[in-house]
Amino acid sequence: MKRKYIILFLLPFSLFLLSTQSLGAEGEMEETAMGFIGAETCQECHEDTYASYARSIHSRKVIKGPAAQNACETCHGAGAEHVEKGGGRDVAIFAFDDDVDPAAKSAKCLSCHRQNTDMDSWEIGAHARNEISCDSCHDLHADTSQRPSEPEVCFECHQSVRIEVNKRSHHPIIEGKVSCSSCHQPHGSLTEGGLKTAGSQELCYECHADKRGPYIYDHPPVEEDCMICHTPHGSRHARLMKEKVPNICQDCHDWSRHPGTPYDNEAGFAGSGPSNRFFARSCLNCHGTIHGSNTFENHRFTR
Amino acid sequence: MKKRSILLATTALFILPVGGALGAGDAGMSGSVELGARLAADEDDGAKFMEYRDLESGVIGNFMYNYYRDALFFDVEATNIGLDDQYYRFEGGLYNALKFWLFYDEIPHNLSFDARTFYSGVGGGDLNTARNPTDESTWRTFDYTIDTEEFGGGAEFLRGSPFFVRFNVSQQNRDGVRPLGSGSFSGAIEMPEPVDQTTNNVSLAGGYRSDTMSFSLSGMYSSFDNDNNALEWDNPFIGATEHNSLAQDSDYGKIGADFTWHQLPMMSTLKLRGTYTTLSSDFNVNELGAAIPAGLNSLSFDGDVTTARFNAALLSHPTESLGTKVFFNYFDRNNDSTVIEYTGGGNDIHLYEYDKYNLGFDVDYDLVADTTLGGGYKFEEVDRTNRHDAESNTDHEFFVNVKNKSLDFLTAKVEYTYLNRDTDEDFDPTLTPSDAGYIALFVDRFDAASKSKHELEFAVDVYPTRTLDFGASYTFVNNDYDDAILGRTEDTGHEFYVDAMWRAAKFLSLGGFAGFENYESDSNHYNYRAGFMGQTANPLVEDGNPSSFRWSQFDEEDFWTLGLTAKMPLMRDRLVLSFLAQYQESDGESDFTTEGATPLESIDEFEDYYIATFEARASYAFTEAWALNLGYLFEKSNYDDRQYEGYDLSPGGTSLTGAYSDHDYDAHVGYVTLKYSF
Repeated sequence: MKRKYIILFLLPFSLFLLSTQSLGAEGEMEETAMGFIGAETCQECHEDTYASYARSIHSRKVIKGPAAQNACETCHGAGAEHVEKGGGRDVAIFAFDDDVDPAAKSAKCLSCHRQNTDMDSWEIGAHARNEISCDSCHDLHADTSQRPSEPEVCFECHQSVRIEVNKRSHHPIIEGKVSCSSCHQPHGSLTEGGLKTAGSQELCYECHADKRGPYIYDHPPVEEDCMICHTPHGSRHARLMKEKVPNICQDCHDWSRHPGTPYDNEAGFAGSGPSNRFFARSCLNCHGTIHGSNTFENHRFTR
Repeated sequence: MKKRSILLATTALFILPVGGALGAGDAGMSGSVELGARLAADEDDGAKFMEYRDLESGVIGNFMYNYYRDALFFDVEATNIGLDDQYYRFEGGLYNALKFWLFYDEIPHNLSFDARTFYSGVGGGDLNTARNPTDESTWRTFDYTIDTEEFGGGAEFLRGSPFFVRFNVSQQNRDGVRPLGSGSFSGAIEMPEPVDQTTNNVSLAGGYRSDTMSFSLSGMYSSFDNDNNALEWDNPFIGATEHNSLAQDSDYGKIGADFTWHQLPMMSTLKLRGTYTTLSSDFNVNELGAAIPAGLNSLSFDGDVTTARFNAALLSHPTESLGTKVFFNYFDRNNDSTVIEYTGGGNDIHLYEYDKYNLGFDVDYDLVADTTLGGGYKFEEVDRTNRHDAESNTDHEFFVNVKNKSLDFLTAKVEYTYLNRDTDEDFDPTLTPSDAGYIALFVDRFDAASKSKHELEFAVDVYPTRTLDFGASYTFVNNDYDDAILGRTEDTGHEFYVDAMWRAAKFLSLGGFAGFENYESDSNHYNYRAGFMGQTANPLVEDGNPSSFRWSQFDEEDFWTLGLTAKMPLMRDRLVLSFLAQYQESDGESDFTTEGATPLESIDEFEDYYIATFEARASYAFTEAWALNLGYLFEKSNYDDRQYEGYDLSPGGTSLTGAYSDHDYDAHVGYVTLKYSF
């Protein structure tokens, strides 16, 4: 590992250690207020729920969260009336139930989490606009982390993606090497498809930098959108192609010599007229630099 | 265990806070150590089974650690320690103040095992003929595999304050061999292309945020270095040394600005974003080693591509029942790279540039009975330079949808989208059927061709009880390339999916999903050779020449899948059993019609495959701290495709290596681990 990376690795540690000397817990808010009954009262009836809350990050007083404010009542609202009426689901209390307005539920969370850098686009994003609230994905009383388990939680709604990522050709999503949030911004994005980047190509080139060029010889669809030929989650066709090679190539390159020649069953290895335009990797047997070529002499993506 | 793994694990142990520190303040610690063994067997030794994972027999281990004391927190995750797909992440900081993270990840990508070649120097940039190219028995074996190693870190400062600063740094190293096709009409060659590439990324962002607005500036720099910018290889078909260009070193930079304004009138949110990128790559013809074409106008290529992008969206709620969104997006790609020309050729018409913009609006209106009516319109225009078949296109897209959730146990949505694309071409008007280029006037490429698109989507979610969820959806998509004479003329897709989750009892949860997809495409083609035996370049005219003929192709693909899961927490959750069974099958075929003298034979083996998976796991907790895990995975795959049936390394005029030819596998994996949680 080069020295500059060691330095960059150690920098956050240094800052972290320095910070521990100067920063501490934030001051706690005064707990008692009109209509608030305190967490102990909630615990009397909601023992299991309180236990899970107590194990969660929300229960730590050091964060500017529920524990530093009104505990349970920070999110669920003052509980006095709820208790006076004898309790019960949705009785004078704010519950994160399925039939509660999603925007209202998310607003509770955003009152603290608006400060997160990725929440700026929440209202613009597809999730908020389709009545998905924070608790649709996050377990608010989780033992340790409130992070949703990807990709399973995403598959609950995105049925087609679950099918696609299990297909024969796929990005390593089910293997856990690429997560949904590696590419998508679930909290909202200006980009179509909720992508993290401003465009799909920028995103692809983050991992596939060898494809970004610039090239002496461009292949126009490559420069316009990777998704013209590829599909991101999974495909029945090799290399995440939308259609099989040579068919996808011949859908555009359709004249003169071999691009306009039909390759039928007899063009395979075992056929009566084997053709290297068809068998094995077909067009790619020769046109190996299909994303762009940097040879000075135009060899039509074969060099 | 690899050297870097040892370094990372040692570093982690060194910096972990010790348990004794728990005494003070609000503190906690948790984690787990898991150690075991795995036994794996694959009768076919298929690379596909191990494509992105290391499932070899051996020792396996995982480690998790979470610690906090007052504002300080620290999390460690280490999975598949020492294996080819190992992953480490250290994360820590101070709540409301600072967060930092470090990570190290390895991703294998196994393409094909036991490929064969007559070349020496596999993995390098110089392939020499070392064995007899016509005697496969003498060829040596190698694996097509690429190992990706990525590591880096970052930090976010001033958390909890209105300001924030965040930086990331990472390095990705890719090392291995992948297939590269090359050659000419004298013969096609498949070769092992060396992959030894490094990408370094650094990004920095900072900004200000309040309850009503946020503003940020960001920058990124990325350098890509390839140890092999060219490949020198012996061409046995012509008895000469040839040179291929590989990915060149490049530098990429991006700056951006974001602005968000919340709580505007009518409950509006405005978001603006602008980005500017540069991409450059400079190299000399001599670096590639290839012969310099006569009359070459420049010995060096200065690649210079810049893009500018602007996005804006305004979301509003003018009334409680009305939601609106208006948007505008602009993108411009400029290519100021060197135009390479030489005697009789070059790329003087191929430097590609384009710009596009779109604007539109969406509306949602709440009707009676929990019904929402939505609709929208998008206008898009794309202008391209140096693409004569699609100099520009104009899109009009409309959609309308209805959502209903009036029933407590059901939500339903139906949506229809229509797109009309009108594409303008830019061909030389003086072309006549006697010109070779005349044929291009009839080719319409599906990515930008004029078309009308219809899409209908229906989705329903049913949850009759708190323990049962059921969902189903159907999507129909049809693209009709109205003006296409040659090329794809139409494609149609049907997708139907269902899934269900039933928490049948405290000790049993059942889940399942199923899907069926059908895809069809039609295309027209013309077997034409310019200037050969008096053929005409007009596919609308049957010229009666037996060497030229019109033909069409129809492809159909069916895919279906079924998955079932079960989870059974027994003995008061001390024993947890879980099962997964999954099957998928794909069946395609391709049919032809032709005006040629020789009939064309349909292709039935058209990427036909099945994958069957069964997985069982049992976890038994002896105590709160100790648990024994047992697991078994079976997976079998079979692939039939006419392009690979009867695979031959040396068919006429071609030399192959076996890339992607080892499709099938029949694998069994069993493992046992002991897990200690604290």
